[in-house]
Amino acid sequence: MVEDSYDHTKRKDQRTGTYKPKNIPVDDVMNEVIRTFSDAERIERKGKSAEVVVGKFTVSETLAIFKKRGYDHFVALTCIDLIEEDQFEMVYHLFSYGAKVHVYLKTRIDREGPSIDSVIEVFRPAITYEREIKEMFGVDFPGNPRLTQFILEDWEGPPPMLKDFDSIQYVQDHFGIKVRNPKTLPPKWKKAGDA
Amino acid sequence: MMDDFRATEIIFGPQHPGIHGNFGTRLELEGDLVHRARMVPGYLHRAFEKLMEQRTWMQNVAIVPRICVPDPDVNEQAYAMAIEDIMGIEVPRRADYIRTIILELSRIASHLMSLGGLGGAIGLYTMPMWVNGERDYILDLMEQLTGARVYHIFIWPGGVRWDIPDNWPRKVNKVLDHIETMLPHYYSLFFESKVTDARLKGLAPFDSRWAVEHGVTGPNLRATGFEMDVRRFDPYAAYEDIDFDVVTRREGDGLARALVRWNEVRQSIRIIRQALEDIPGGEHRAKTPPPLAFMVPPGDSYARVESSKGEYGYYVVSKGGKYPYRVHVRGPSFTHGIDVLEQLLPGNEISDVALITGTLEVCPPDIDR
Repeated sequence: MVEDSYDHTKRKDQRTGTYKPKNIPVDDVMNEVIRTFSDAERIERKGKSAEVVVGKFTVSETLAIFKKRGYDHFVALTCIDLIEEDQFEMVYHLFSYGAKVHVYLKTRIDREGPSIDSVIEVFRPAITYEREIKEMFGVDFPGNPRLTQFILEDWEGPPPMLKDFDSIQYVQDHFGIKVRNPKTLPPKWKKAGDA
Repeated sequence: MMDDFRATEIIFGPQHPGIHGNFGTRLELEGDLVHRARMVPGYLHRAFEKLMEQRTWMQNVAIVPRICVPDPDVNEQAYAMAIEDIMGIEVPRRADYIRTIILELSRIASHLMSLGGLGGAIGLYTMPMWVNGERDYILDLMEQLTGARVYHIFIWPGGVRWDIPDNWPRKVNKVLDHIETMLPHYYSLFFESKVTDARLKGLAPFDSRWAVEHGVTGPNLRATGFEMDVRRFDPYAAYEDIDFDVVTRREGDGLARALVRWNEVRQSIRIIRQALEDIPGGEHRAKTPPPLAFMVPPGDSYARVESSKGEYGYYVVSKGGKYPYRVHVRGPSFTHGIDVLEQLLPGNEISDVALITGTLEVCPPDIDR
């Protein structure tokens, strides 16, 4: 017999009514964010979207404000390797089902020893995005319990999505394939100080 | 604490015949109940995001549809929309209508295929045979229009590659008529079966609040009673001019998710008929730079579309020049297939694992990319 050590009817009991999205204009929320955090800066965008740049340490609190005001659909988390500025840009995409506005919340972190606090306490879906970024860019997310191997099995090389990871060189070194016609190759990105 | 001597760990997939696509699950079992599930993706990793940074803007049009096999056109549409937004290209209205027709044909094929997969998972093997026959008619239509059956590479930044042939709308209508007459047969085969009722009713239910908190989108979200469809709240292509219903169910269980897909097939037929009727004349493509000299000014944009599986999005970053700086693909299965499944599976029987994956319509290629 199986011990009933876990309750598998729990989720059925949690079904409490329907969800009603809040419709709060993005300008109000932006003003609140800018009032609360002195380093937050709003950037104008066209269309039904808004952009705000915040400091690395206030991301969780800013996301919590947005979530409370109805921007509760966590769309995605994107990491961009800005190698020329020696930084990573993290873009948190949020959406409000009520106001129907897309919010880009951006922050910059250093490229050396990259680390930013996990936001899974605020937005649960971030858990998988952070896990992927840890593997592909090497960014650490303190507070995320699932930063385990994701899709690169037995990978020993550097994080492959970094701009200075040369995939053609890697293929030539590891699989013995000579890449012909190098004139058609895209530009290589280098750090500002490198020759 | 779980008793170590009674726990069994099995690896379910990617070779298991019941698993939905090429990914695996590590299941910890107590008897035949799942105690803990850990998804193992990565079998389809083709490094598309990295590859796209090393190909020109127009070469990438041929790469993006490969990200989702059953529903490839949403990729082309979202990628094109993101570039059009950065470049400020105004797409001709005729191109919008042609895009709408293609996207909806693709949705019908994808929904029918997923219902066929569910039929296979519960032992109704007639269902996958029949629906794949219908899908083939749609692939024939695509072949006539685009020259390709599965990956069409037809929706370009600025419009579509060429105009629809003269006799094509008549053939589309013929296929739609056929599918419409067959739909009641499928209903009695699948939804009136006692097996479907016993297996899908009450399977892995969740409510709207739980769904929004966990990033569930698309038909799976609408099956909880929340009327939310990208085609309605953030209309793209020609959807704002077209009259259609957003299909919802209140139950939020496996049967509701299947029924939402089922009813969306009818709505898609309705949309295609209206689009064919109202399609305006004019150009099918805006004036854009030639493909070899296609440059996108610096900027970034996120474009979302409603795929048959949920919200599909492309976040495109350009720093100017011939190559994208970063393209991030937000597939619906990235949340459905990892975190949501890991939370839904515990407590269910092992025989339901493939079925829950099927009702969520997890598409592993858009997890791996």
